[in-house]
Parts: sequence; structure tokens; C-alpha cells
Amino acid sequence: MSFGLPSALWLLAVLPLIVVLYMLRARRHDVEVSSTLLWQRAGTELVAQRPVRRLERSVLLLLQLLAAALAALALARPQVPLAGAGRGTVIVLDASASMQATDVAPSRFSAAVAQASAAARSASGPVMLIEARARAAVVVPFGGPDAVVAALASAAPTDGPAQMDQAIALALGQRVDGVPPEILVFTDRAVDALPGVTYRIIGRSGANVAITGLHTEAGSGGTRVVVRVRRFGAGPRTVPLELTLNDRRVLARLVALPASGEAVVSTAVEGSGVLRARLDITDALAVDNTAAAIAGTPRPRVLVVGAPNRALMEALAVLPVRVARTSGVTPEQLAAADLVVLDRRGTVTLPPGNFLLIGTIPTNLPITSGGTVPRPSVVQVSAVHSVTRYVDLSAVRILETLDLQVRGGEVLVAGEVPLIWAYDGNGIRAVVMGFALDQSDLALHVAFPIFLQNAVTWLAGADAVLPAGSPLILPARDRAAAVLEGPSGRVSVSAAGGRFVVPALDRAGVYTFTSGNTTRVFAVVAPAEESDIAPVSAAGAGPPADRTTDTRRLADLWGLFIAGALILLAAEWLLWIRGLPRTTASRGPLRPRTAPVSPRAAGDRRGRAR
Amino acid sequence: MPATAATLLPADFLRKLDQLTVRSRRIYRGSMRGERRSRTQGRGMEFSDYRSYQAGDDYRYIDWNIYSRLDRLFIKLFSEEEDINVHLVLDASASMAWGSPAKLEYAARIAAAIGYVGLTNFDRVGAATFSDRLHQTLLPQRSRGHILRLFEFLASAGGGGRSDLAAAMRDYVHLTPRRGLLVVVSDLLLPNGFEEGLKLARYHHFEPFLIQVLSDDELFPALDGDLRLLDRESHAPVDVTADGPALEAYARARDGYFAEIEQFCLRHQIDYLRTSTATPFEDLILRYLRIGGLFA
Repeated sequence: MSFGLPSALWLLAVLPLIVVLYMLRARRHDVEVSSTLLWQRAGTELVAQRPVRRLERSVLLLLQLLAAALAALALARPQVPLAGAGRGTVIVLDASASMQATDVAPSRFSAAVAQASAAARSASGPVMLIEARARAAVVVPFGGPDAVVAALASAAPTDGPAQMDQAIALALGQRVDGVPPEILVFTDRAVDALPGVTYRIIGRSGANVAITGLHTEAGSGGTRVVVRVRRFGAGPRTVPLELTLNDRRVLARLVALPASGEAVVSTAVEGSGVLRARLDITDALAVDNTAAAIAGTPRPRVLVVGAPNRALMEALAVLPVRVARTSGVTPEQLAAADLVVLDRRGTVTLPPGNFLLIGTIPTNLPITSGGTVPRPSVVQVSAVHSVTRYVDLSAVRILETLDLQVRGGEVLVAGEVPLIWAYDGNGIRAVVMGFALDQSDLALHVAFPIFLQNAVTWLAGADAVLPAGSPLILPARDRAAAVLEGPSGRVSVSAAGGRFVVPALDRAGVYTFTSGNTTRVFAVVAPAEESDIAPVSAAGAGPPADRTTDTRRLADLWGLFIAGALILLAAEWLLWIRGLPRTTASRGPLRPRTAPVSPRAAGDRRGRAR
Repeated sequence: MPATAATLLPADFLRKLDQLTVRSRRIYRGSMRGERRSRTQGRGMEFSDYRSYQAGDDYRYIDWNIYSRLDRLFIKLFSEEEDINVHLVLDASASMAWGSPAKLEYAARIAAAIGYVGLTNFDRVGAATFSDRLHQTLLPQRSRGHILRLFEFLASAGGGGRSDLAAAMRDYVHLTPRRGLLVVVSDLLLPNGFEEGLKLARYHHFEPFLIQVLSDDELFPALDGDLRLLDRESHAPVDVTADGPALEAYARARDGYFAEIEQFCLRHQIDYLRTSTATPFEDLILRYLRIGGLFA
């Protein structure tokens, strides 16, 4: 027998407490009786006059102790293993890019699928399949092994990362008849060793060569291209690198890589289009031998509406954007702009689009202003949101801000009141600053251009390269549908909530997103960390014990223990009731009694005999 | 409500008592002719014996039938019917005020009934109350007119304090020269014991008839829990944990005490009757006192 909550066994300490309470004398109540003669003759006063009661054999005490012990044991959730339907098995399959490595024939992923299928078939209980991708998801819920084997047969690895922590947490939360299942994780990279989790590490070698970065930067002389190539594993190696722009070779060279080292290749290219880098080698992982980027991406058009603001205009000027300023705005200008900056425009009603609002309150978003707040301090800055990432506002002083009151969205910077707020929905993506630039010294801090760059990137959707596995979220504006064309083919995307959302871009490559007459080209690359394919075992991980043959399940006994405790208490109560003084009515009146042989009565009998 | 002389015994019950007589196991020499057979043989109505005629005997007592058959003169002897002395000794200590009805009230009614029977049969009836000493006494008298005084005496009985039968007996045996039936009505919850007092009575030629009156909560105490029992007479505390075993021990002590009383009375030829205040009074008088031999 085991206990689900062993710490509750400390409650057994109440047993000696009950004994002590039994031995201690309670405060006595004075009761007048006609005479204590018979009580004195009973001899009980010898026991009663002691400060503590002598511990005698008492059925009531024994029953109380047993009931308390059973209650304490019940709280500890006693469990016994019983033969049952079999313990459940959760198979967690790593579908990250590194599982495409071929150091295990035909690939790590295929080997994992084969082992997982075998484990599913040999499982005596229900089997669940969880696939660890950029997001963990239950592919097959608990059921027979056939469905899991079929799902495994159709499974494919992604070019993105795998959230193994999330997948294992999801598996740990599963129960079959209240019993935690056996968790088998098929991966090449174990995370922490956890009770009940068995890792089956797949992979032999960590040798790999990968393009870990392909970056472009527009300049006056064209586009500067930086390629990072990294060698994983022992021994130097020289690999051929080819760079093409719209399938036109712009660079081809041999790159010498030191052992576990990196080489950076930089070049300039003219023109715009799809830039591809490729290593003409054969190694364990092929997906990271190519990379893509977009060269010559048109700069976002930013329209500044408001009074001339030198700080704002100079900051925008250093960003890769095209800036225009106007004091009044027309619908045509709004439609042409990728981002509209409204600087101190009071209250406005926003059409679908992307907006940076400075000291301006939109009437059609869940935000209002309740006046102004003097000298607010910056207390909290969101480190998660991309707009405030790397933005240090701790030294910023603000003279006055609007008293923003929000009912949704996300507060990015907060002091006594929200200072910067972001909203994304209904075709509108907006960042609202509660204070004007001339009401603070923000423009004098290095955080200002970083904030502006982040805001422009988030609002105008200027990202041209996305890591594989990340979702694609674009404002829909007034469009209802779009088409996404990529390595996996062509899919239609419908707008929902003013946005186009593609849950995850699992395949690396070049994508074309077409919405109306707007076409956006971007690249998806495999994350660099997936190129490090060296198998990693967790402490305690390794070939698991064959526990799938254990068909026992744990049955909770706390109910029986509670029932036993109640029965004991009832018995104790009954005995206590029986031990209570009985009323005269229950015994009946005493019949008068003469002496056993009354002399007078005996005389009568003798007289009658005569 | 305490009983009064008028309410001590109801009238219809008194009519039932008219049919009873007090019986004494021993024959005492009374001072006046009564309705009780005497050791003296003489002018009674109950034939006792024959003896040979002697000069001077009353011719009226010669049995002429025997003379006709045996040709000898015999004198018929009759038992002289004399009165006896009935002494009613009532325990009026504090413990006797216990119970519902109070034991003292119940005991007073018992004494009243015995006294009434005695007085209606021309016996001398006296009464006394005691606790740690003799309190009040009503000297023995014989007349129906004495009934009311007796009832008033018994109805007003009270005293309180501790009980000591021996001390009371020491006073009482020297108070009256008349010996006779000594009816002691008490709960016998006597710290100093009951034996010495009864022995003293026996030594002074009284014929004790012991009636023990208890209340039901003394026989079966309805107590529970950890208690400090206070003696009503001595106020001495006794700590008791009144649980099942303790009550069983009490019952054993009670039964043992009763057995001691019974053995003592049997050994010393003392009549003994134990009753509870829950016993119907008429049953006690009309049935159990007759069974016990006090009434005929």
C-alpha cells in the first residue's frame, strides 16, 4: 500500500494527544448528592482524585484511537495496486527540425516513429500521442494503439523547434482512471529528468554544418548580405557556399570552418528579390544547409499627421522607412500608408490600419482618457511585447500624461496609470502613448529610436524573415481572405477578428502572402539552435525500464478508511450511550425488599404451619 | 408541597388501615388491657390453656364439659390482651430531604400509617426524630385522640444535619422506660454506621423494625462525566468520573451495602424492609408491610 499524500501521516501525531487528553482530568462540576457514602464504598474516588487518570484498558479510548488513525490514514490517501485495465501510456514525439538528422537511418524521426509505434503496440493500456512542435498538441487522445500507430505513420517533422517542456507538462497532466500514465518521450534532446518520464534518446552524432544566419541590410550601395556558417562537431571542415538572388548566383566560395567554430561571409548584392544561401554538402541535417532572405524589401511608408515635431521626424529619419508628414489626412493617404502616426490629434475614429497614437485617444478602441496625471513615474515595462523589447525607460521623466483607462489590449508601460498601450483587433493595430514627446524627455534617451523601430516593425509588419514554427499574424484591414503560398503549397487564409492568422509556419522557405492587390514576400528559416543536433540525455534518462507490462492500477482506499472511521465512531457512540447512567424509568422502580429471611415473616410462617 | 397533619394520609386510606393491627414478635407486659395477647393469662377472649382447679378460682372458668367426661375440675386459661408500645423513630437528617418526593416526607407517611394502626388498636405510640442526636420526641400515648398529635408531629418533622443513629438511640433508650416495637425509618446512609444504634436498641429490649427508604436517584444515580460530588450532610467532596465502569462499581457497592444490612438484621433478629420513594405508598403499607410481618 502506498500513500498519495504521505505528509498527512503527520496527523497520526494526534493519537498520543488523544491519550494525553484522556488521561488529563477535565474540570469537574460540583453536584450535590444526598450522600457520598456509597460512592466512597465504590472506591472510584481513588482514581478520580489523581491529577491524571490512570491509563486503563478502555474500549472507548481504543475505538477513538482507531477512528482517529483511520481518519489520518484516509487523509494520506492510501492506495493499493489492483489488476485493472492497464496503465496508460503517453507517447511524446519530438517533431523538431533536428529530428530530421540522418545519423540514424533513415532519420531520427523515422526511428522515433518506429520505436513509438512499437511502444504503442506493446502497451497494455490506453495510449495517447502528443506531438511536440512549436506548440505541443494532443494528436491522438487515450485509446487503442491502432489510432496512435496510424497517426505516427502520417507524422512528419517540422523545420521549427519543439516545445518539449510544454509537451511533457501536457503529458504529466494526463490521468487514466486517476492513475498517472507512463510517459515515453522520443527525442534527441532530453529536458529535465522527471519522475514517470522516460526518455528514449534517438541520435548518435552531433556532427553537422549549418547556415545559422542570413541577414540583409539595405544600404546606399545595394543590400549588404551577411551569411553565418557554423561547424558542429570535432574537426575543421571546408564547405562550398553559394548565394543566389532570384536564382541568380551572386556568390560562390569555399568556407573554411574550424572545429565547433563559425565563419561569417559578407557581400553586397544589387537589386531586390529572394536571396538564398546554400551549402553544397551532404551532412546529417539537410534543412539547415539552405537559408533564404528578402533583399531590397520596400521600406514601409510612414505618414505623420500633426504639428511639426522635430524629435519624432529625426528619429523616424534614421529608420528604414519612408516618412511623410501632413497636417491633414485624406482617405487615399491613409490607404497608401503602412503606418500612420497621429501626434496630439485629440480624439479620432480610426479606420482599419496601423497607427502610432501620440497623445491621441481613439474613440473606437477600448481606451478612454479621464483627464491628465502630472509627473507619472515608469513602474513597469513589458519585456515580452516586441514593441518594448530592449526599451529601457527607467530614466525617462514625464511631465504630464493622459489618464488612460483601458478595457483590453495590452499595457506595455505603466506607472500610476497606463502610459503606453497596444491593441490589435478588428483590422486595427495601434500603439497609444499617453504623453506627448514634448511632455517628456523620452526623445533624449537611446530608448526612443529603439521603441520607434520596434513599433514600426510591429505595426507595419516589416519582418521579412520569420523563424520556422512561428505564427503569421497580419492585419486584414478590410479584406476577408488571402492566399499564402509556400514550400508546403498554396493555402487560403480567412480573416478573423480583423487579422489573418496562420498558426504555425512549419516549413522553412520563401512564402508569398497575397491579400487583394497587396503581396508580401517573406522567408522562414530553421532556428539556429536546431542545427546543434548532438543528442542530449537528461540525468536519469536513457533506456527506460519496461513498465508498460505493468497492468496494475492504484485504487484509492480513503473512502474505505473514512467509512471505517465512521463505523468506529458510531460503535464508540453506542458504547458510550450504553455506558451512560440509566434513568429509573428504564430500570423500573425498586420493589420493596425485606431481609432474605425476615424473622417476623418466618415467625408468621411457623405460626401458619401450626 | 410539604404534607400537613391533614394531608399526611388521606381519609380513604385511613379507612383501609382500620383493618390492620400492629404485630409484635415479642409479647410485652402492657400497663393496661388492650387488644393484644399478653404473656399474662386471664380475662381475655382467646383461649390459651388449661390448668387444674385450685381453691379460689373463678367458677366461671371451669370447663364443665371436661368435668363431665373426666370427673376432674379444670380451669380454662385465656390470654390477657394487653397493649404494646410502638416507638416510631424517624431519621430527619439532611439526606432525608433528598428526592422527589422527599424521603423524609415518605418516611413520615410510613410512620403515620404505622402509628395510626397502632393507635386504632389501643397501642401506645410514640415518635421521635433524629439526625446527629435526638431532636424531638412525642411520648407514647394510647388514644385515638393521640392520632392528630402524632400526625402533626410527623408532618413537622425536620432537622437537617448529619445523621447518627447510635447517638440518637443512646438518648432514646434512656428517655422512656417502656419497651416495645421500635420502628426506625431511615435511609441508613449513615457515616457512622447503623449497627451500633440497632444493637443498643436490642440491648435495651426493644424490638427494632428497620425500614430503609431511598430515592431512585440514589439507587441508580443519573450522573455522567467528571464530577465533584458534594455530600449533602457533610459537604465533603468526592471526585468521581461517572462513566459506565464507575456506575457499575457504585451498583456493586450499593448491593454490597444492602447485603450487609440484610446479614446484620438476620443475625440480630431485626426485621428489615427496604423501599424506594417510587414505590406506591399504599402498596408499601397494605402489601409489603404485611408481607414483612409488621401488620396483620
